[in-house]
Amino acid sequence: MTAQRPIGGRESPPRSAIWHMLGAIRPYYHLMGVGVGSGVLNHSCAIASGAIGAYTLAYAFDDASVQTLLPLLGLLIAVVFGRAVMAWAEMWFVHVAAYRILADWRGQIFWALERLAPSYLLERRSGDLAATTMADAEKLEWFYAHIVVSCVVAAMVTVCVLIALALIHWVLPLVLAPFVVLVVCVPLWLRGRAADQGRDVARQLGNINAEAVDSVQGLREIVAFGREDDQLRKLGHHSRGFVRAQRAYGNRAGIEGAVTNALTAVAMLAVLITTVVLQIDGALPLLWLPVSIVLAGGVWQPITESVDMLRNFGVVNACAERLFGILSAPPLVRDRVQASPKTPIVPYVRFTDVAFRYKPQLPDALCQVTFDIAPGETIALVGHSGAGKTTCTHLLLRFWDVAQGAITIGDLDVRDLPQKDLRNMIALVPQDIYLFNTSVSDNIRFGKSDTKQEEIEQAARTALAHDFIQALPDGYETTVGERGAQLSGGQRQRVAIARALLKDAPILVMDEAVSNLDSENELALQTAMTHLRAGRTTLVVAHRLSTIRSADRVVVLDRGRIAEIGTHDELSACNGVYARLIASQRDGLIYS
Amino acid sequence: MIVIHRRLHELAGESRGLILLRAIVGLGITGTYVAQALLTARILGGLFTGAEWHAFVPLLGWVMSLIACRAGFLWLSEVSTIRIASVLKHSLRRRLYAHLLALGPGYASRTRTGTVQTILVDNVEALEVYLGKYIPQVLVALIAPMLLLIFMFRIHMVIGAITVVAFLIVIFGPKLWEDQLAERGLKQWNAWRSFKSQLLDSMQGMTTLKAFNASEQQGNALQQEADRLCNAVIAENTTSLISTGILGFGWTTGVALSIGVGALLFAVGQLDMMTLFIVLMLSRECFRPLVELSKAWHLGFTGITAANNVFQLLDTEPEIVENPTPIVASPRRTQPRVVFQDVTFAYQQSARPALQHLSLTMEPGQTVALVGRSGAGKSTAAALLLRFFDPQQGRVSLNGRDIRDYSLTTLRSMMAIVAQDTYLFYGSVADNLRLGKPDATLEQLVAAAQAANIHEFIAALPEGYETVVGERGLRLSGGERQRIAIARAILKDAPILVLDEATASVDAANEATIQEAIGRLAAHRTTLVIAHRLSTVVQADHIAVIDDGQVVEQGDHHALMNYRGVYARLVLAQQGGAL
Repeated sequence: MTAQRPIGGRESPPRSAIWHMLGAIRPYYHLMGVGVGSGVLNHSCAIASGAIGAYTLAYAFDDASVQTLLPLLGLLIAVVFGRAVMAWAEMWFVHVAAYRILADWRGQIFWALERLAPSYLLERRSGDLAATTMADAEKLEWFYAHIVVSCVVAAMVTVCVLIALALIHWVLPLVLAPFVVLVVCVPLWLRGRAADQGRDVARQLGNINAEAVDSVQGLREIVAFGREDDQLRKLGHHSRGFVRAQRAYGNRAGIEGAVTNALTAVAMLAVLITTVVLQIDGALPLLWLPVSIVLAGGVWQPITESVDMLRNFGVVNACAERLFGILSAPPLVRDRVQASPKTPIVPYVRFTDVAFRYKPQLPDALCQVTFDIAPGETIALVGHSGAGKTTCTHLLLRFWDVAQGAITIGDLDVRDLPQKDLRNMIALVPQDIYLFNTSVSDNIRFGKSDTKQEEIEQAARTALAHDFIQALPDGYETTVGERGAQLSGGQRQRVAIARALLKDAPILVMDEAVSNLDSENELALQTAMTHLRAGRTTLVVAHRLSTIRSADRVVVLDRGRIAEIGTHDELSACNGVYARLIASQRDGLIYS
Repeated sequence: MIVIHRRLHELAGESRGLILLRAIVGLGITGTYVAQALLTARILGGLFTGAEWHAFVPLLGWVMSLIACRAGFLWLSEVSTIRIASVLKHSLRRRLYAHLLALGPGYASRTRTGTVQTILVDNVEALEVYLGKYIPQVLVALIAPMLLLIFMFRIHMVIGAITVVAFLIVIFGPKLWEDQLAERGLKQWNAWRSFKSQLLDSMQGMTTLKAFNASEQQGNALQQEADRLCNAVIAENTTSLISTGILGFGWTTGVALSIGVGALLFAVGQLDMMTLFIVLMLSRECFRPLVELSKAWHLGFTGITAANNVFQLLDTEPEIVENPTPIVASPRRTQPRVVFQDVTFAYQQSARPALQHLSLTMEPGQTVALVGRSGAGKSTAAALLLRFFDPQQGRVSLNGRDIRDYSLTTLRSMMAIVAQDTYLFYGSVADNLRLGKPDATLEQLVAAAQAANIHEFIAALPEGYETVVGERGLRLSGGERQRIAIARAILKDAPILVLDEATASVDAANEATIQEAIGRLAAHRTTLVIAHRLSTVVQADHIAVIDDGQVVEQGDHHALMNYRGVYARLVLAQQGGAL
């Protein structure tokens, strides 16, 4: 199985979860088919062995000799053996198919999230999302390995048994059939409630997952503030909510189970009475009486099995809905064009009259923003937090698309570039640097799997990261820990710079971390950044005076609008937003 | 098939009684099946001996009432299963969380979030089936078949013998695969855990992946993990299905042989017709509890490995052990004296010490700054003061008493910390601020937020102080988070203040105001400042320069500048100027 990167979004109309689930069987229909086939044989053999046993008995009462009974006994053993083999085959094939389908779903979720990032991820808790991918997907095993097959098998076997009964006497299937219908109807009647309760259970479990992540990642805060008891209370609250949901679900399932069991028992009773009456009337030969009772009993095994499975459909359905909710969420950014541009693009970036808001109910994050960055030029974006600096970088990278206006690179609207080609042209050094829990090498190489070790080390040297990397326990092969926890803030930043250097893209976007550095590290970082910027069209969200000074021009943003554009000297001279900004900063520092 | 975890008793906890009740109900269900089988046999026997149909009426009546009884029992068993689950999961999760909190941040920083999450959520869920369904059924399967076996022997020795052999196959056949199953079960959980951790990692780093067009590679790696998990599960299932297969074969053969041999015995005149019908109806019932057990096993076997994982967490000893007779009362003095005496500490036994023979005195009300390169050990000193770890040598004392003498609650109630990166919990801004002071009024929250220069920002949020932040809520920038942390510290109003690069992510425009707020806060408190910005450091009463886990220079700003050592070099390097 190789991961196929789906192009664009899933355009399928909203279908109910069950059709989605059934659709995924297609690549594995042969496995499922063999499973169903063995299932039918399994149950048929089971019922046949019962019937043969009963017939042997009745035959014995008919004063049969031991010699005539022995072949029947031989047949019985053969059928029993066949049944055991078929039972194993059914379970094996069906489970293999189910787990393969699950693995496919999990892969698909990754791609769905990738398509939706970062907007969707901001709205969901990562623990909750992990629950969806892991636990919810796992619940689908129930659907594939148990529900689907057992329903198909039950339907086929039931028809066979009813026909066999009709051959003994036509009244028997007529007595039995209404009960079969009733038993199947019980879960159908309670379907709506089961679905609601299932959704509640799945949602509450998601909460528990999210709470677990909160507790682990926020452990330091909890402990430092002595809030252990509060946290335990909060967890207890969620735990109780989950248990309550499960209890409601279980009560319903329990009633369903009891009713089903009673119905099947009453059906047996009805068949028994019918045979008694038929026998007394002389319409049923005594030889076939035990057989008909065993057959009538045997028919319930596959049916109750599938009904037992269906009782859990509520939770399965809810999990599937959550899963498909993610898979079918429309991406905010779509590729209008699939083909890569044929001619090389000049890295000349222009924002023309750009307006944007993150959500309809939120105020404009950017409004009438117009500026340009000539090839090789460095523009520093400056402003208070919330002025829209980072938003500009998001739009350039097409994490979101502009609401009005346009961003162009070398006269080409970024929306007319496939996202892949656009992001190939841009190297990003974000403010929140995310390092993966792999080796330093892998984190620098990042996405360029064919990079040689020398190239990685060269990039690390230029980013002034080589020395500290070598001092790590395993050098370049040291695992950096979850979120790069083994490295300091400054080290993480230099790894990110090395990463960007290696990418060697014509356009550079930097969201400068405000600080996190001691002064020696800071000097190193400044130098590394200068190396990185050389020859690239650079947009930097700047917080440091040194960075701003080294930029060719400064774009000052104020509440989503452009306040001023000019060089540091020009802007310092006129008594505007920039001058005030700089002045307030000088107050905060003794040496600068 | 009968695998009882050796610490079952401990695991079951308060739900022991309920598990027993569930087993008794299970026996009741078996009883109704057996009685119904006997009655049916009598009806059949009556038919073959040509009894009148009104002779069957009372028998049919009994069957009806048995059916009603069983429906009741079945409902009861389902309900008690749920109850077991609720009692069990609730208390176990509570215990696990409490232990996690006792293990503290030291443990959390070494363990992947996904691993702990798997234990807290998935493993506890897996135990539900194991304890709620499987264990009670084990009791039923141990008792009911024994009683029925005695009955079968009384019918005829040969029938009894056949049933015994079938039982033995059913019970001991799967044992042959037990070791393999355990091994594969463990592999499955490992694959599960590593997939989950990798998934969490990918999700949190998704934006970075996307920006670097690296999704393909990560997606493939993840798909590989998913396939590895899939294969591990299939391998485990193959083994567990062999067990189920042997069981199925064992019991069906047992039933078929009992009936067939019974017919032969009838033919040679060793059994009468009535008894033969009893064999026909009852031999199946002998095996029903075992078949149910196998179903419960298929659903619950992951509980064994899950239990091991749960105990692995519960058995991890906290590094920080509370003094058995701690000082509970916090010192009256609002300006405590803190002393690091010859402190040596390494994060891991073998690793290079993060601090070596560190000695440092913080006089009451003093602001002491720690300065040095990243990785020099500054944050470690703060972590030791908060007792996230204990030093291997030397001691940290507070008002002359080792901090290990204080209760953890008392100790930590005396300190407020503002750290480099602040975690916001899912909840409102107000909730997050109240972490510092749970009973704070809105006015107090606003006052603290104003002092930390974050009030205007909060007020502008869609729902003000009630806006939901943290994961799934609104994400705040590093600077905003840090200002919330400062407001928290202001609210906590503790006598010792630890500022671990407290204004690192605060943007320059805000820094002056916050610096002022912090200055006010620090003025009346014993303060430990870990700083990179000279503006903070210069004003400190005492500056200690740390390099490689040791104090290399100390004194006030002017003294150190005149000394022209490490500190002076750091200051010169900074002249380039951060905003």
